[in-house]
Amino acid sequence: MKKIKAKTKFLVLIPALLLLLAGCSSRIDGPVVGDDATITYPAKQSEDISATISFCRRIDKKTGEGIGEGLVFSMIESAVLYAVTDFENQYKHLANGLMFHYDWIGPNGKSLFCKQIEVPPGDSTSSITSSISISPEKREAGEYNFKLYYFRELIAEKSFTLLPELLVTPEVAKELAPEITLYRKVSKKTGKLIGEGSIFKMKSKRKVRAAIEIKNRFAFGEQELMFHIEWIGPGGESIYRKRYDFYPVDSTSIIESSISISPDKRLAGDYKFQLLLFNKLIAEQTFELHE
Amino acid sequence: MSSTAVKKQRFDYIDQFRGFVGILMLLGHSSYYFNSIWINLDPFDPIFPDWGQFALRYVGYLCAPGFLMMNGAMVWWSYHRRVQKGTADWTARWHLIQRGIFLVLVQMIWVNSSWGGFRVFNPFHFGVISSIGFSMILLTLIINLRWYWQLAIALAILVIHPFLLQIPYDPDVMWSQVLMQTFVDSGGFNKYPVLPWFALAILGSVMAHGWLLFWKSDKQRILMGLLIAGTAFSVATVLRLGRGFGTLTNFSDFGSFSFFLDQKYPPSLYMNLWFFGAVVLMVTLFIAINMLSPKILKVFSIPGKVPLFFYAVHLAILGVFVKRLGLFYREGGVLESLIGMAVMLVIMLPLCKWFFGLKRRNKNYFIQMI
Repeated sequence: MKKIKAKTKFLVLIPALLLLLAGCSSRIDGPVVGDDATITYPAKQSEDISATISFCRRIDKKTGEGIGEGLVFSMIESAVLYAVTDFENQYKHLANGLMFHYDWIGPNGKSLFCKQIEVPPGDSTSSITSSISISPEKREAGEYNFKLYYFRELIAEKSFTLLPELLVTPEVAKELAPEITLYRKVSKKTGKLIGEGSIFKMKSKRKVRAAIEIKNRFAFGEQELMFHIEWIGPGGESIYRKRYDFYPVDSTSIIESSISISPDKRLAGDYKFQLLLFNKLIAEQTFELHE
Repeated sequence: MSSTAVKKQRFDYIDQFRGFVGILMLLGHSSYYFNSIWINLDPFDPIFPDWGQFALRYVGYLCAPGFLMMNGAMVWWSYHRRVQKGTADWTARWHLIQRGIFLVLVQMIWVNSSWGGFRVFNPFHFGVISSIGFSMILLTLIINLRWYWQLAIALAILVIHPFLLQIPYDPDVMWSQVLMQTFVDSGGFNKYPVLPWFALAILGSVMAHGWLLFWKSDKQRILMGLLIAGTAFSVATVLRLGRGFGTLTNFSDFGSFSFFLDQKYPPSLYMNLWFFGAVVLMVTLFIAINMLSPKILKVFSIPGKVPLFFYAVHLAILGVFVKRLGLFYREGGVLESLIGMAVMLVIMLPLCKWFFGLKRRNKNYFIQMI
């Protein structure tokens, strides 16, 4: 009888030990998908650390905010993708320092880059940023994943898609149907373009403006589009060049740019305004400046 | 309890615990070959997606301390039994040294290559088996010391080891990599440096004094086991909570994953104390279970009587069939690892039984060594 009692105690002890071990996890078992598509593993204790993840193309140097946030990105030569993880409740755990790992996982399930981050005691860092190259020679198209671990335990993850690099051909340019309009200014009263054409007279404080309408903005679906505009002077030199990224999440279809045509800044002659897609010329408009 | 009964049970619980640790090691290897987590898991800096994967990895942490301590206990027992039977001191020691050398050779010739299914012969690499071999050789040198001197040496090594880890060396320079990673640090050449693991082997020898000699009844073994394990856990916990000497990585909260998961390669002082306590506790538990129901643990004796054979053969089978032939290699998860272990046990248990019989009948030098 004694033996049976002891056996029963032992049988009760095993699940109790397992439960005790299970208690090591600081997270609730089931994941929760947030509005921003971050999959989080909520903490058992509400005051424990949690995190959200966002992906972006660039980070504004002044504000520190992400530019071109989204979940679908195109592979672009020399481009990088940022993962920004923002923490909540991290300040409650600063006394002894924090440990994070982030892991970029490729479409084949293999880790591309994994790094441990130690936050020293007292450091009030509230976010971690990591980046990977999304150059076509380094990556392949497919579904990628970014995972964040807090003290070796997964607390958040998020997926994103890399689309193949768009091969720019004359047909691609046709599909997008870009239309360049050069003009002097916009009427404040009517909103109409004034001085539309290809010949402009130089004058102090005067400008030539360009409006490019990408008529078929979503010709390639969720494909991200990287445009450059370039103003070229009579000697073939570049006067001004700027990059414009069109992300799937915004529906912008117009690019606007202008240059001064003040006689003290420009020479008379033949100029060009060019539109480039992924650094390849897809549309051009010539114009003339005279005194 | 009669002396015959005591003698029999001594071997039972040690064989059973050794078999249990061997099966845990099989589970760890099954995970290594079948579990997709190993596509990305860095054993030097592990991260886990869920509790199941953490538990699967963590239970394997008991294996190396378990093997080293049981080896230390058996070295002590074997030496004294031989000397009692009339074997000369150095003849008894030489037998153990030969076995230590044999283990180092098994590591270099068999184990290293078996991981990849014998695709590549890679002798210049050490691991847990060679660490056991080296520890055996070193242990024979102090096997005659009284238990408290052995304990003092083990504790001194464990306390000094964290300081030795601070010795700077360039792992790209071969001689310094070989020297440091053979004895002190872990890396590409050897994950199981001799010093900290030798300390655990000595602790096994110290515990053997109690289990096999001093403590005369199972009740006493259980009480002393609980007391020693409790002390080890307490000291380890105090060290961990101190977040200073004796620990190598940070943790979040008491009782969390990271609390239990300090550095394994090479083990921190906290990990060594913790797993010393865990091994003592498990052996105590095995003694207690044997008191209640001697049949429950009998199955563990099968691999426990031929642990090296069990280790070398199961690893080779997994290496050839899973890694080399690509049979479900790293395609599963926790469940698949458990299934893999079960299938391997179906294969290995009869093989172990057969080999144990062969070992008893055949006095061939190499068969006796395995």
